[in-house]
Amino acid sequence: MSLPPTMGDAAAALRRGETSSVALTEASIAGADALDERLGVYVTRFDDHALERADAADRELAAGTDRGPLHGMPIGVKDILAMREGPTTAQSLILDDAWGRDRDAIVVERLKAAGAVITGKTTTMEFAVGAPDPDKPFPLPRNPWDLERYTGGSSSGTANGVAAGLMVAGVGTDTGGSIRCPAAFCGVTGLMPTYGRVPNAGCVPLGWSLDRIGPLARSARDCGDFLAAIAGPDPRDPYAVERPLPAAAGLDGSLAGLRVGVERANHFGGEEDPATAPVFDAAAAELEALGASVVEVVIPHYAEACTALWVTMVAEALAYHRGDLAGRWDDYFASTRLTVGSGALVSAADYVQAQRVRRVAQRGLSKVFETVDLIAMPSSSKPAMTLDQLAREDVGGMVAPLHLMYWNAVGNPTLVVPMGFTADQLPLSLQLAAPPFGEAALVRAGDAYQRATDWHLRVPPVSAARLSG
Amino acid sequence: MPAGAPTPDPVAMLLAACGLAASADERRALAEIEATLRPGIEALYEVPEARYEVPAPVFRADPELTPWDEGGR
Repeated sequence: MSLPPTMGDAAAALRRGETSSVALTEASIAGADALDERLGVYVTRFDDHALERADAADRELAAGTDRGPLHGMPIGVKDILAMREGPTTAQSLILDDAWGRDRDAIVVERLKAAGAVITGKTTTMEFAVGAPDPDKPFPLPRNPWDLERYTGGSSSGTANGVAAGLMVAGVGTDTGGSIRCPAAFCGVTGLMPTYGRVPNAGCVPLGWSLDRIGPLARSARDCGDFLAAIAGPDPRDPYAVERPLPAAAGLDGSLAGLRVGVERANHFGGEEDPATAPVFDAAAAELEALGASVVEVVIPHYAEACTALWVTMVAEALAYHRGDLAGRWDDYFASTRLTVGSGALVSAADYVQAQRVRRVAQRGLSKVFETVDLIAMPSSSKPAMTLDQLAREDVGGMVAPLHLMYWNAVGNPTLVVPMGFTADQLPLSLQLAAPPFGEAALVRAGDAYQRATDWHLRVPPVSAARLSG
Repeated sequence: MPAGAPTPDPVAMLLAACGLAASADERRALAEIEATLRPGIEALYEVPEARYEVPAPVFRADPELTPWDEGGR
């Protein structure tokens, strides 16, 4: 048995009595048995725990207790969130194994309360930053569309796990693109919520003023349902805010009345894959065909905000890691050493100035959002690079094709959805951005786009071969 | 600094101030990162609208102070 295409499909089949949570979880485990060694999805699997939870979910449903869209759904959790069933490593030799022991992150608490079946802890880049290090004893995540290519990071195992059909959804985190990059490269949907929408406590920090926890799934609608289960304030997280999350509405396939600004000025003119511009143009045309009014916009202070993001991230990360870096430099991944170590090269004034520029960027962006409801752009100029290329790239080369960091600097929510393929059959991705706390409009637009297209339902070769074999 | 003494390597000094034991190759790589980033960082000081702007993180006198590792359910 394979998992249904989307979490919504699985939940509907569950309620029609066509499947059970145990059957879904067994399918998830069978997929992991077949593919995890090749794909590097999991750091730790919780097969027995998951089956126990699935059985409990089935018994609850039979007794008339329905916890909502995540009830009985097999999902993964990135291994930088604490979960009492197993260790949290942050895919690192460094993290004290006492951290988070026997505790759940707030998001994990909420997922359990929503009836989700957590199948395991998924792979990441070390401490959610940098690139893989073959000299360290952790799984190497591989892209299911081409096993010699990078998944993108850092929510790598959640992205390739969803893409390969090992789970219906999962948790990622995003400080400089870490939900959206792997979602884009692996051909799935990812939602980075507004900063403060989801509490971060119990998640290993990378940059406190930037970090966000959010879902990856096949569909925008699944991401909206997932977000509803994990959003909301908690007194244990001083940055989580009390803002209502509107229930999904207007999911009727129409975008009538929606104003979409297309941003090309900061997103083209570099070294794009030849397919990126025509595929993006087709996606913008599809939004217009669905009823949206589409106009060109320009985001001000784009480059400065990206620099501010980098300064902020490496400074905050160094504050967290400085003691361990000083004492255990060689135990860190090579890429982590350079990325986080670069925080030593920015001054305190640089950091404060970055925070002032973030405010300037917010003000400029708010003017753009007076004229449009959403902004559309490609998530990346290029598809996933090969692992060989990745090993040769410096940090700048890794992030140059990506159009993600700006949105971490300003705090707005964005949604990435598959929008087509390159000539080599590698996924390309559309990014939609909304004003702060505008996730409902993102889900509406993403849902309408995915009703009209099937890019998000395409199955990578490694999974198709398994299912046909 | 005595005349004729070698010019201190600022990257090495900054790393040493943090106690970071980067290798020679890593110091060179970090110097390249710094050289790439520095013009962008200097440009942050040239944003006219930032002249009188307040920083994004705002200090609060009344924060929620329940620690995650003590306030669990």
